[in-house]
Amino acid sequence: MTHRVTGSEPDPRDRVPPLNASSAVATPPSGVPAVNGPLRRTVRVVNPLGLHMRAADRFVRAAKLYACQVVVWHGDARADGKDLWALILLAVMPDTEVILELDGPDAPDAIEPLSEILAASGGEDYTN
Amino acid sequence: MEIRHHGIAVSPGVAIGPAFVIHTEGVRITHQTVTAEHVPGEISRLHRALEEAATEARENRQRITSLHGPAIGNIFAAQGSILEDPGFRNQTETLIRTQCYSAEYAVSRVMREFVKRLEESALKSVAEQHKAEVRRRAKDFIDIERQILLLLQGENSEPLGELTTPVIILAADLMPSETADFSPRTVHAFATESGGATSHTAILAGALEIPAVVGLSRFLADVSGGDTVIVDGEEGILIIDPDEATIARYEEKRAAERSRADRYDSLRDKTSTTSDGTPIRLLGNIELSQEAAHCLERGAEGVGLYRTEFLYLNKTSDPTEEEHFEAYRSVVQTLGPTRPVVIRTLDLGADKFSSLTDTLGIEKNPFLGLRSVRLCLRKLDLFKTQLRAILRVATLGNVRVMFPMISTVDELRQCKALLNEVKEDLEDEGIPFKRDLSVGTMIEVPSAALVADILAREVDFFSIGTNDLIQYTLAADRNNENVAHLYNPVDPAVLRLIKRVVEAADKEQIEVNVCGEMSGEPLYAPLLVGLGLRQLSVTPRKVPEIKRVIRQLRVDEAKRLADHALNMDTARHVGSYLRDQLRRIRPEAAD
Repeated sequence: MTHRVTGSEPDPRDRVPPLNASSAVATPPSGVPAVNGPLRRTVRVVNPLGLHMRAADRFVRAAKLYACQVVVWHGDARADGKDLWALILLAVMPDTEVILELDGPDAPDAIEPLSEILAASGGEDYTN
Repeated sequence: MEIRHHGIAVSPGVAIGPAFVIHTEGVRITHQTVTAEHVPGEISRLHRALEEAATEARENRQRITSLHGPAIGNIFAAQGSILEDPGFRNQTETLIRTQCYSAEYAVSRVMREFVKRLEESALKSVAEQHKAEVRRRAKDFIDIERQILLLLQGENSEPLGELTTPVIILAADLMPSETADFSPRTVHAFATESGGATSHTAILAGALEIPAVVGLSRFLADVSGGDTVIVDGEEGILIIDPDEATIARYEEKRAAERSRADRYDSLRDKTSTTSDGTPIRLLGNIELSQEAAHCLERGAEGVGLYRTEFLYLNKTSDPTEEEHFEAYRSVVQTLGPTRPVVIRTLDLGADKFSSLTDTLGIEKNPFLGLRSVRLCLRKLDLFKTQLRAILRVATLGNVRVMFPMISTVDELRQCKALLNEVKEDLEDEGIPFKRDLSVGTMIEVPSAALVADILAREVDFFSIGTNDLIQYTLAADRNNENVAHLYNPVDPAVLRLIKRVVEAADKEQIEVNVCGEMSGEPLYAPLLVGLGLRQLSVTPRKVPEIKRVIRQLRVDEAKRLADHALNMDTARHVGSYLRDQLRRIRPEAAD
């Protein structure tokens, strides 16, 4: 059986301040984009049903719009943010903190919208 | 790997066989595996079913969103995402390719494994108040599994009644109407997540004489259709995917059971007579018409109690006169024209009739309320329908009618008056019926036992319903664990009432029997014979055991035993005394 959720130690770096979405990403003159390290943000899930089916689905649909790797950490358990089954297995309940970790060139574009979705107290009326 | 679940044992016996999992709409998995050349076909089936399911989800999302808004419609968005998940498709496909699983089995395995992981980890780690949410999320996956299986099943729906290979049925719960269709030939046992010792499922299992365990709590996540399972109806255990040693042990157990059954068979044609020559008639208690055959197989001389409630349970409308008639006719046909068939009229509470709860409201005290014959006297159309069918079928054999829960002489007279009315109706309509139908009453309410002397003059026979008599006399609910200890068939109060009833019957020279559970216990047989009973009506399965005790009993001995018991102060004393005595009469029967 494929393992969808693995448990391993999160990177000791914590609460890295998010890059401002509007700030330009520095590109070296050679044209190769700079390698950005993963962006992390701690988000409190306040939806009264936690990260339930529709909330997780909304998140996954949004995450899939981006090229970057999306990971959601819950304690020492980790789930691929583009995998609905894995997110459900994470069993995130109300009033819980998760860490959103994005890695890739468009991570800075994704961090705000995705964090907002995780932190939303409703939002089940998504239309995408 | 073997998994054991413990529940409530409700019907003894051992069964080893393939599981047949019933989902709420009767979807099930016919085969676990397919041959290698069918693998590509199964993968196509899988893809088609997943496509169809995803399309359904999309369509539902659209439709529900336009009717109720996106927040609601998105329930189907989430379902669609689950269905369209590439990981799910890959896992299922891999199982089909590498294990030759059928599409159904592969889908079920993946889903159940997932749900199991979810529940195992999440239920351990989340706070109590969030457990329901975990279960809700799991349920979405189970519902999707069902959806896919239904699509895979397509037009090949075989109703339960058409099973051709022996299976063990596993379900969250089973409705009486489902289990009533079971044939012991193909359903070897069943096990359910819910249900209690006195649930309808339990009663049916006993009636059908197939091993069953209920109240197991959730286990369906651990099993898929086709898995080998063992049901131990004695200990109340369900074993999923048993290992070799366990199977061997249970096969031994099953063999021992069979030889015991064979020994009992040899008693079938022996007479039920005490060692000093007094016949003690043994009759059978039945709930379903199918059980009539069991009575004969076990050597009962007729049906002493035909409980008719199952004709009413779990149906959308009350049974018609023809439905009654057909059920009764089948019993009479099986038993023949001379063996007695005692039909008891409806003994249900008002809570089973939705039309009544609307007008009456929910009763605070249903056991002391509008139930049984009281209900029938209020719902005359219901009562008359049943009485008509009984009067008509009585022309075909030795049929008798009996009224339950009679508490006053007046009540009995009302029933008899109604019976006469129905006779007049049938006469007017030119429909054949038995004019001199034998009429009896249950003695199960203490007031009836106390006026048995009057009642004996107004009926042709008594049947002592000890189950309820004991509860009413000791004012204790046997299902209430706080007071269940008070329920004891040999409480001195109960013994005195039984004696009184028997004496009243003897005085008017009418027949009397005991039809409660007490009559099926070898421990009490000598006592009942000693109190003067010459007829006992028992669960068919128990007939051989009781017959064996009777054949080793002497009536004068039994009388002395009864007199001695009546002089004791407490149920406990009587119980020990009877155990000692049974050891003397029949060493192997005593505990």
